Amino acid sequence: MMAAQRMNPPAPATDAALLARVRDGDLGALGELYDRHAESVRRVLARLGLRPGDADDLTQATFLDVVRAAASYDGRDSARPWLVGMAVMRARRHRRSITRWAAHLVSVGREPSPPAAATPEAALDRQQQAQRAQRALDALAPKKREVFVLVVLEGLSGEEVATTLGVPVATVWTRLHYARRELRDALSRGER
Amino acid sequence: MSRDVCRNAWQAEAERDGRLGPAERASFARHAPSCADCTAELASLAALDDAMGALPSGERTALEHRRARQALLRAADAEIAGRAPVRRAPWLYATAAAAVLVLAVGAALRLSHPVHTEAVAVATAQFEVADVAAAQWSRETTGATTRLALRAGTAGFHVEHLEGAARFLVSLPDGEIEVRGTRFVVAVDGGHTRSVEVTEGTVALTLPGYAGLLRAGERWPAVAPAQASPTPSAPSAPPSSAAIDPPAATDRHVASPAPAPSPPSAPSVSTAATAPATSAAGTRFGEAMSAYSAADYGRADALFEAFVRDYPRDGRAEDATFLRADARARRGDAAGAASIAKQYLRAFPHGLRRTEARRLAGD
Repeated sequence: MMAAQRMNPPAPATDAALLARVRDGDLGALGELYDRHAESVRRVLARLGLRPGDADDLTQATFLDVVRAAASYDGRDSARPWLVGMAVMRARRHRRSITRWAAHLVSVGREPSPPAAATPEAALDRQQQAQRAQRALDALAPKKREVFVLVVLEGLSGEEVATTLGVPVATVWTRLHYARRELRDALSRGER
Repeated sequence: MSRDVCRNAWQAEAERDGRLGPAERASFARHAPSCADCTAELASLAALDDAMGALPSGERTALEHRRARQALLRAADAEIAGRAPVRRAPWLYATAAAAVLVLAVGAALRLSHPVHTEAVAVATAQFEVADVAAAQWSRETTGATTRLALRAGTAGFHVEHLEGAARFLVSLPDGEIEVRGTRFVVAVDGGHTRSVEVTEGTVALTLPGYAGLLRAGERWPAVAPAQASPTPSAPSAPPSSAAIDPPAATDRHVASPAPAPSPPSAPSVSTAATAPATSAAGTRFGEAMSAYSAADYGRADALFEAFVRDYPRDGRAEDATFLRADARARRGDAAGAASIAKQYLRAFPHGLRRTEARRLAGD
């Protein structure tokens, strides 16, 4: 009996199925969705320039949005682009909020990244590369940064990003082209 | 006189982004190897991807993820059930909003610190730090996160159980500790962490080559430092108030001289010296979760049941009980699932899984 049951384990539920359960108040489904996508959403927020604590807060806020918005989900198997889109909108609101309330405040420095377990030389080299990349990314305008993060770093398609940001696909490619150009310039300046 | 760049060079980027049709892609594939401009453009794009790949992913530890998940489910449960965890009168919201405004303005005036206004009003950790032996530390509070950097010496920490989004971290020269409510003693010497001993609660320790949980009675490293390092391990001196940072006006933590957390007493050290880094309960729960994740629900049910029987006061007993019911349901044993779900509701009437448990119980 058991053997027969173990031969046919249930297939993992799709994101769409989980969201249907969330809509019906199933917290287990929300937890499963969180396990699948929370780190990805948080990484996007961090790469859009949010400090780690803010990225944590907005990740939570994004998944609470899921509870409210599950009923309007369009049914795609993977909810990642949808979640990332909500996170980007949260990040934009956060940026505007910070700008409005504390326009004259300058956020100095970033919280240190977690310690790496590499050899000292490799760790130093990696850290320097990461710092150069971070400075270059930080210098991008928000809209170019969003497109670069979503397409290049997160691997979303141009169409998914266009839907997420509510812009034509051509705009995505144009922003990406200029983002790349600025990043290459910034990185080559950093090496000189 | 400058040379014109190849008019097909733009296709390098388009090809990388998957924007070329089959015919264009084939044409570019034939053209690029013989074109210096296109070859250089492709190499430049690859180099950019490599360079940006160095960005840290900044992923959280499993413990951080689990805590955030629990906080999310708690908030979502309140929202789904239409019941806030604490009912507040409308005037309280107005007061809270005013407090946010006041704190935000106050924070704006403290230009020497990084500020993010959305988190200023949340509760921060309440804690005590005691200078056990020549401890040097500094404190930084950002929003709900309190971070103490222990640079040298031995310090004892007592952190009250954290509420909501509050976080408490200890930065070490070579690692980090995060806790939710605990007592522990940390020794740092020569830029390295020498020992961490937990006398109450649980801490998440991350060091080069080590990442894991230490529970009450456990220590890192497993070998007593008396043989391995010169770290002071004598009974604690009275806490030195001079070494304790003055509290900032908006912090809630207790920084006045306080009794030192229990130093590693002889029995505790003796037990801890042989204690494994991972607790037996953690291992048992992990085994049950592995069985559950592998869809071996019969075994998961048995392992969770044994876990609850042996560790009824463990914080994971709630999850274990619910997952037993879920495992039964997945095996097609609706009556068994309902029975265990009812057990869950009796034991954890306000549990995070009560909505699903009611469904399994057939309520």
